[in-house]
This record gives sequence, C-alpha cells and structure tokens, in this order.
Amino acid sequence: MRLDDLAIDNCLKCSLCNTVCPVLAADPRYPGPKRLGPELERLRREGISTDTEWVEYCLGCHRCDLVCPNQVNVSEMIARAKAAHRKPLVRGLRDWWFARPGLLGKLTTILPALSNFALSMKPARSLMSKLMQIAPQRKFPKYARPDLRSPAMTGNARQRVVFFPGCFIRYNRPGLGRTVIDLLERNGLSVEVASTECCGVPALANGDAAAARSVARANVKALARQVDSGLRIVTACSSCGHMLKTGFGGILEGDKKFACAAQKIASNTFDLAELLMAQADAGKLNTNFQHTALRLAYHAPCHQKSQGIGRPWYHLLRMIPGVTVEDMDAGCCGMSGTYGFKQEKYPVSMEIGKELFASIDAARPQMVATECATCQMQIEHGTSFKAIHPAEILLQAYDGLAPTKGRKDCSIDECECGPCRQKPEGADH
Amino acid sequence: MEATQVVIIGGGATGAGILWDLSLRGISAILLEQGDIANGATGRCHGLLHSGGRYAVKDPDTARECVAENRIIKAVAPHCVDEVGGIFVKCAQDDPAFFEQWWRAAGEVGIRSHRLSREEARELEPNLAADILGAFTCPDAHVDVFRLVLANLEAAVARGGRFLTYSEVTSILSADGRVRGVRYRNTRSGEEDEISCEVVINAAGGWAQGIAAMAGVDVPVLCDKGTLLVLNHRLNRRVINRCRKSSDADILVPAGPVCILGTSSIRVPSPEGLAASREEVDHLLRLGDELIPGLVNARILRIFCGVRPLYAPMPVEVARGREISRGFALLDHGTRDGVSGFISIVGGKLTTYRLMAAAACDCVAAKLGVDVECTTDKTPLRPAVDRTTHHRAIHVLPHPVAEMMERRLGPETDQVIQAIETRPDLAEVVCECELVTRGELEYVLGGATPAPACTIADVGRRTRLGFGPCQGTFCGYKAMLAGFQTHRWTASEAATEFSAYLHERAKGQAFIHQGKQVEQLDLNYDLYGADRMLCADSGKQDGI
Repeated sequence: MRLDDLAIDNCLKCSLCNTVCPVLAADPRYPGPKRLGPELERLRREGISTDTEWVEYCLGCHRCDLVCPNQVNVSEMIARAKAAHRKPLVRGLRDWWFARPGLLGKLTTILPALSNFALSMKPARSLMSKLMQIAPQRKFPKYARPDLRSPAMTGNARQRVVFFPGCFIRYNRPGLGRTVIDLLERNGLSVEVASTECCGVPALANGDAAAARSVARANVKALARQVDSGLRIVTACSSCGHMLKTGFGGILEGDKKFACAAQKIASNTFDLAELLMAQADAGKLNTNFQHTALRLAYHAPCHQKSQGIGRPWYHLLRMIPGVTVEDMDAGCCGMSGTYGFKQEKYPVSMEIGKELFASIDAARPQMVATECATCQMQIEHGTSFKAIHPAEILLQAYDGLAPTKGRKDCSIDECECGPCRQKPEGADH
Repeated sequence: MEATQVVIIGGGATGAGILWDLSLRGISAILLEQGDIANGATGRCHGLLHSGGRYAVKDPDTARECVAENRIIKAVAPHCVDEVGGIFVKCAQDDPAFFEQWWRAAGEVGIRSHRLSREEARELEPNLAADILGAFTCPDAHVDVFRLVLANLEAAVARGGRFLTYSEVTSILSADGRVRGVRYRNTRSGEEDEISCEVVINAAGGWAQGIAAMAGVDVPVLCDKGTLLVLNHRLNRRVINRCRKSSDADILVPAGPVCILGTSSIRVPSPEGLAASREEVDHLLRLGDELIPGLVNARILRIFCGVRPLYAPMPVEVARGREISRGFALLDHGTRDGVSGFISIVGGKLTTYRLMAAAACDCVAAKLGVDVECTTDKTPLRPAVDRTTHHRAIHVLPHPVAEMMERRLGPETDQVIQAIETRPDLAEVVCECELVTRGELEYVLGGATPAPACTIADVGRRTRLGFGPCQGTFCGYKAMLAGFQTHRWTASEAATEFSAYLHERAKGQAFIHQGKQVEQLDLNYDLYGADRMLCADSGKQDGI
C-alpha cells in the first residue's frame, strides 16, 4: 500500500483547508478543497462517480496542504481527480496545449517575432477566444529566441550549481536567465544551465498526468547524474522549484527507481533566493549594493510559500540600501499559470486577485517584485503597476542602476488592461 | 386493544422478512421492535452476503442455502446489494491441505469460483500481502443491512403490514394453552398497550430466549460475541476472506465508503452490554495486517460488537461458537411445548434471512389455513428509480450526491427532489462524509416516510448520516437543529437527543486506542465537552 494512500485517514473534517481556499472565497458555489479532496476521495475509492467540473477550478496553490494540521495531501487528491476528469473537446484541446508550454515554446520561438505579432493582434486573440476558449482580455507573454547557454567555465575552481530555467525563462525571458546566472556568478558560484524540459506543473494543473509523468521522467534522467555528483539545483521560478522540491508532486510514485531519484533531486533543489540567503547566512553574500532609491511592493507567490522557505526575496531586497519593501501578504493573485488564461475561469481568477490588487493600489509602490512569471502578468493586468522578478532588482543594485521606473511598458496596441484604457489619447505608455 | 392475525417480535432482517412475506400472502401482521430497526445482530454484522464459501467445508447444508439465497437477494433487492465479488486468499501461514479441501467443497455445493495466481490476485487487490500463495474467487457481496431491513418493512407497509419501533414486549398473553396476544411498552413514552392476535412469532435473535420464557417455554440460544472494526476507507475492492478454517479477523468487507474487518468469537451471557477489549482489537488488527500489510495503521472509525444468536439444542458446554451450525431452526411451540399459536425462528444467518422468514410464514399460513405460496424469492422489494426522477435529481444536486440519494431512497427520491425544487436550501449537504442532504434529513425526520426516525441515530440508520470519519461530530449537530427547525423536537428535546446521540457515537469509538479517531474524538470533546467520562470508563486510559 502506498504510504500516503492512508493520508486520507488523517482528515478530521476541521475545514481549515476551506478557510484558506482562494477559489472558495471568490465563488461560494465551489465545493472547496475538503469536499473535492478527502471527502470525495473516500467515495472515489468506493467507485461512486464523483466526477465534477469543479475539480478543474482548483488553482493548485497548495494553501490547503500547507494549512492542514494533519498532513492530508488535499491538492494531490484533487489533482488526481482532475486527471480523471473528462473535459469537453475544445477545452481538452486547449488544455493539451497549455499542459505543454515546452512544446508551445519550441514552436513559437522558431520565428519569435512573427509569433509575437500574431499573438498580439486583436483578431487573433478574439479568434483564440472563440476557437480555444482563451480569455481575450489576456495578453500572451512575448516569446524570444531561446538562446540561454551555460556560461564558459571561469578559471578558478568555484562552487558549481545547476540552473533549472523552466519554460518561461527559456522561451520568453532568456534575459532573466542571464540575470540569474550573473547574480550567481557574482556570488562566487559557477553555473551550468540544465538541459531539462518543462517542470510538469502546467501538465498537472491541466489534468494531464501522462504528460506530467513523461516530463518528470525526462527531468529526473537529466538531473540525477548532476545531483549524484554533488551539485545543487537552482530554480528562479517558484513553480518549477515547488515541483522539483516535492519530488514531482508524487506523480512518479509506483515507479521506485524514478521516485527515489526524484526524492534525491528534491532534497538538493534550492530557490535562487534561498541559496543567496544561505550564502548571506554563511557571510558569503556579495553585499556591494549601490544605493538605489526604490519603493517596492513584494508579493510572495503561492508556490514559493508552499516550499516552506520563508520569504527570502523579501529579506534580500531589504538588504539593498535605499530600497523599501512592503510585503503585500494579500493571498493568491488568482493567475495560477494557465488558469487565468482560460475563458471560463477568467472571472474567478480576477475575483481572487482583487485583494492583492487593492493592497498594491493602496501601497502605491514604484513597482511590484514577485518571482513568479504568471503572478507578474496578473499583477500588471489587474493593477497599473509594473511587476518584475526581484533578481533583476538585485542584480542592478550591484551596478547602481535603478530598474525602469513607473508604470508598466505595455506595447500592445489597443490593449484592454486597466491603465491602457485610462490613458489619455496619444499619451505614451 | 388492537387486533391482528400475527404479531412478530424482533425488527431485524428475519422479522422484517417475515412481515414482508406475510403481507405478500395477505396475512395481517404487526411487527414489534424494542429499539430501532436492525438493532441487534442484523445491524452489527459485516454486511456480508455470503457466497457460501465460508461454510463450504464445514457446513455444506448452510453453504448450499447461502448459494441459493445469494442469488435471490441479488435479484430481489439489487439496491441493497453491492456486488463487489469476493476472494478466498491462500496465505503462506495457513494449512495448504485446506485450500484443496475448500476448492473441492466449493465445487460440490455449487459456488462459482476460479483459481487466481498470486499475481492475478494482487492485480485485483493491490493491497494484499506480497507473500500470498494465490486465491479463489467467489460471488460474495456486500449488503447494506439497514437498507435491507427498511426495504422489507417499507414494502410490507405498502401491502398493509405494520411495524412499531421502540416497542418492547413485556408479556405474552395466553389462555387455555394458547397465545392470545402480547403486551408491549413504548420505551420512549412509557405508554403500554396490548395487541390481540392468533399467532406470535418470536424472531428476537439474541433476545429470543427471554421472549420464549415469557410464554413459559425454553429456547436455548447461545450468544457468541463478534467484534468488528470499521476502517475509514476502502482498502479492498472485493470481500477478502482468508482461506482457512473459520477464525478471527479473516473477513474484510468493503461496505460503502468504508471497510469492515472482523470478527472475533467469544461466548457472552447476554446480547446486551457488549464491550471490546484492547487485546481483542489489537489481535484483530494484527491478523488483518497479515492479509493487508499496513492495515494496522489505517484509521479505525468505530468498533462495534454484535452477537451471533446461535441455536444450540444439544449440550453445548464443549462446543465453541464457530463449531455450532449456522443453520436455523423453526420451533413450533404448539407441538414442541404445548403452547399453540407461538413459534420461534432462531439461529441462521443474515444471508438466509429470507429463507428463515419463508419457513416461519409457511408454518403460520398452515396454522391460519391460508393457502398461498411464498413469493418473496420472485417479488422485487422496491421498484427502480425512474429516469425522469434521476434527471431531476442531477439537475438540482451534484452527481455523487444524487447517486447516493437514489441508492438510499429509491422511488422516494422523487418526494425529496420535489421538496428541493421548491426549497433550494434543502440541497445543502448536511453530512459531508456520506453526502446526505438537508432534504433527505428532513424527509426521514418527517411523517411522510413509512419508517420515520425517532432519534438522530435512527436518521443515521436510514441515511448513513454520521457514519463517516467525523462520526456525527458536525452532522449530528446539524441533525439536531433540523429536528428543532422542523418542529419535530422542542429545544430541550433536541438537546437531549443530541446528547444521547453523542453518547451513542462515543460508545463505538471508546475502544479505539490509537490513531486519528482519537484526535477526532478529542475535537468532538473540545466542541461539546461530551462523554469524556464514558471514554475513561471504558478502559481508554491513554490517548485521551
């Protein structure tokens, strides 16, 4: 018997999970994690058809798992139900693509300029809304030439780490990847970029267990050797970090060889900020920060919280002289990767984000720092503030450069986001 | 004083089966039950519809009865039966000679069975121990005992039968060596009344000896205690039997969302005041763990004890409980003891309840000069739910909730759905573990059902409310409120009911010594402050 098969027995029906579920707070019709997880799981094991569309509405934020006083793997149970859920054809097709950001990235970055042009055109977006049920309000992240490479080895033998870039950095923001490498190198670590696939979070979130398993296996194969030789793995994306640290979310269970290697990878994976904080604790952090006058709002992504590492970015940013950081602590942003792109979930997604948007608006920062790419998209979509990865702020602080200030640089014509709608005719972004 | 042809004493499966059988034959009858339905052995068993395999070697006659009854019950009461199938597992620790003996005997009594290799068996039941030698299949099934009794009673009511719960027979009235009626007391109100009749049937199971004594006859009934553990979720898909001579903890039955492990066999003097000892529970768990490694760590929801009321006419000082036949006996006290108009039906099994009822009713019909054959083997207990009701149900309720309600209520679903359609608040799921809606709760508490619930525990027997992991911690409270809101109880009555309910629920958990249910009980205590004393009294020194 799988050991965590018995985790269902731990539920005392206390409903703490329901009290923290962002979806339940946004839509009272949602049955909530307690029902969809441990309660229905008992009936699933009885063989009752418990299939409900509501399982699709789980964000996968893992807040229920975190708050559970009895170690019930609530979201894993919901993820399994999600994988078993049968979707209508169009949504199934859409989610097939959403589950494979790596493949999507490979295809679109053949001709990134063309893809970006096509994805930004209004007719294309309304067509996608009609054919693929993708929310027309959303804009796609821009794709770039995937040119992230391992930097040349420097002469002196320094500590080496493996950087797991993830799809967003690989296909959309290789520049951020170079920032991460630069940051690590300035802190005495030499970096090797892992040749890995998607981490598997999008596949799990879209209920595609087979795809999740296949990328998880590929990743284990790619990383096992490096971990065995004593290298640490670094992630800069909180979702990738979450996935690696949970041993690929239990999807490799029942496959002893892979599960064992996945556990090893899990215990050797570090978030970028976690690693830098460890350097700081050891007195090895490069603290030659220049004075940077910047007022920041910091949003901790759910998958960062689920890693149980505190708020390392918040502390790192505060080390920069002149920077003031306010932790928003306003719950989930509601984006949850591809979730917010789905037309039927767009209203829930925005409803969930309301609290965070209000907090940011009240804080009136110069910009928002958050390490999750889709949190950034949601914040820029829901507020009039620019959101960037804190690594960029940290790196630029070494050179005394303040990041581009002010409002976000929206470059899409006829963009429908808040500030664009409000901007006066002819004004620049 | 009311008058009827037959009075049946005992509201278990046998009594209910007799009421239904008599109603089908057009004989008027009233059933008296001292507590709620299925209060004795019926409500305290595995809920295993035997394929006969358990008795094939030792008691081929009972096995043959089981083979036939298994098919009949599946056909006439499909809504009460979960046809999960079963396997007899050959464990390395057990006597290999018995395996072949079983296989031959099963063939002889007519049990459909296949041999399974270790791999095949573990594919069917992945949680089985890795060192088993193989298995045999058999058509075992799970039967929901409460639903079965209710189905019999409700079907009988539709044909003019009557039953009274919480009605304890205090004396049997007789004159000139002939039974004339019974006197009974309502245990809830304390009121007494009499019913005059021509025949009294004693189907009181473990209490049969006491009832017989009221008429001045002796019916030797042995009470053999069995302790069963209810585990929080299904660890098995099929009934798992251990292929060996009947012994402790050799049957694990998937029963609804839970599974039930049992049982022990200990002689007790009376069917009341049963308790499980810590050693007994540990012993059962240890044996269960041999079949399913890890079972010892699974959460126990509840521990209950029941008695097998065995008929033992011979000197039984030497016989152990399991060695006495599971066959039943029909005693006509007119010919046996000179008390005419009084018969006892004793022994037997849940699986053969219908056969027992048929035998008793044949005897009664002969006495009353009614020449109608038994048709309970051909008459469905309940019509199926029609498609329109099903569609209306899934329109107003989530799919699993609707499915569970239909299985429980059958055609009565229609009335609950109608109520939900006019009052959408009734769609609220009150018992989250077993998916019981407020509509269903108010329905069984109300007067529209043929078997209204008197207490919160009665609601549980009718709907499974409170049968899940929280054991009524949350849903029992809501049931109390519903009883008050629907004017079933006054505020103080409702509070008394809830307190009694908590007490009853805590009783079943008092023997659990470790694991999550202890924490659940602690939560219950923190919420209501109830029954900590009870737990301490029952030998639960640690953990709470």
